[in-house]
Amino acid sequence: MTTTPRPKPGPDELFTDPRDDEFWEGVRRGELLLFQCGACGTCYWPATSCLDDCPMEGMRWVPASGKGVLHTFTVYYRAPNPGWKDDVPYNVAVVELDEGPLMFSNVVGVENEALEVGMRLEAVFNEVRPGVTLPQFAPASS
Amino acid sequence: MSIKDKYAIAGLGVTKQGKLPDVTTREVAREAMELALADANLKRADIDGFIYQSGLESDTYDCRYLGISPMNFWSMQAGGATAGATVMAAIGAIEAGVATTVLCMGASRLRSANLRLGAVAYGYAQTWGLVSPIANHALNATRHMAVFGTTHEQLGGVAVTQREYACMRPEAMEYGKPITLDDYFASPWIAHPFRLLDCTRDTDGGVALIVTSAERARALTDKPVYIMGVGAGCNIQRWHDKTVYQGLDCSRPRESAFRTAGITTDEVDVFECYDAFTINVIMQLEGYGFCGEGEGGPFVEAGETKLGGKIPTNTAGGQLSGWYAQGFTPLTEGIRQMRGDCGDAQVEGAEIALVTGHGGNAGVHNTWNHSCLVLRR
Repeated sequence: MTTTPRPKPGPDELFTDPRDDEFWEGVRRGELLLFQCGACGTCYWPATSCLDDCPMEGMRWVPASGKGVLHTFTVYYRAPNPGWKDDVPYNVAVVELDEGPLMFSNVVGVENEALEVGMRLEAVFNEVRPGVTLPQFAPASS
Repeated sequence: MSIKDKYAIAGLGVTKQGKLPDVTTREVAREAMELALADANLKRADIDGFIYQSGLESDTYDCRYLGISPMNFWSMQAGGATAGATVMAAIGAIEAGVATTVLCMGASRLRSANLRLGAVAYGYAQTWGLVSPIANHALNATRHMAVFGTTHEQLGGVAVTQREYACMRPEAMEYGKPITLDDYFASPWIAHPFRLLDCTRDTDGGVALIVTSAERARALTDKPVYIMGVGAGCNIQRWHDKTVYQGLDCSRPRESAFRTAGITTDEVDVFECYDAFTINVIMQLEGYGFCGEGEGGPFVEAGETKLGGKIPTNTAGGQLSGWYAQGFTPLTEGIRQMRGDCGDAQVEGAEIALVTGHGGNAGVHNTWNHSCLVLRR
């Protein structure tokens, strides 16, 4: 039985939506952006309609602090697909950003065994594969 | 205008579940349909509605091959919530007058066709390696452990309890293979905090049921299973509220299903819940009020989900130790319990069953859809 390796996609190979272009441009220049409602100020990630029925026209990507806490995580010990077989063990994290939203990411700069829900994190920007830069999170320096 | 007890399941068809490498999926579907028809004493021509779980293989629901010509054939995809949703849609179709006798079906060869869940692009989960449903459910478990103190032993308690049930059921994948908590701890890590024995595995197989009016069901069979109430929910508000990883949106489905059924949690005799991973059981025991929020782990550890406990749960081993036909696994066992067909795992005197399903979004964005049915004999 064989499984076709699913390619490890960069964001633009996975999904192309002009709504998100600014977010990924921000990542490439080392800046984390959130999708904020111009009317009520609520921040969202990923791009989302405002829950308070504010107009989509007023939603815009704005700079975020890049700080947050580790909300939850897992560590893959068995690759979910042959495409990730050289990466295990690796973690997948959900970070609760200080501005409010949850965001998928990875935690770097700390052993998987030392990951703890609630730990303070800050965004870092890493070229994880040639041409693919992702926002990841490292233990906060302060 | 309540639907309570107006509709019933008049037939159930379950093919062999497990590894079916040598048949096509549409053959599995045909067999499931024919078993359900025979069970309900019906012919193909009696089927005037057909609602099926779509999505993984394209040839499954070839009506021409199946030999049916219903007034409608509708595909549905709500992940593990689909099974319950097909029953709700069947009720809707009958209420609307566009069907009288609806075939609801899920058939797939998840295992032998080597299909893999886990490919949803929005939110870019895959770019961070969040590829498969296991990770999403592991994110639930980690959060539940951090917030409520749920332990590895308690996750293992779910696995061991359900294996005990599977060992009472010859059709279960893990029949004849009992495990202990030591076995659980010896099983390898897959995605922390899950070990191998926290996880279901894909199986092949088909399940079909016939939904019709209660009156017609009584005329067709001496074992109709009545639908007392139905419920549906969605976890998205919990994403915004940031409680999505510590629980499931069971409150709304519970409220609507129990209100329609006119029951409370205490009146449920057997609980068949979606359990692709151990944490699902703990979270749904809490969500449906069998125990308090955060108390699902100790509840299982105290044996309350075993036969003789407060609420026997997943009595055929569930998806963990039985077989994985997505939401059709718990639905099948709920029907069988109401018919008294569960052998050594029959809950004595059981009159009301609660069955659930949840899923969607390929499992990687949490389980957005939830459905439940309250059944009675």
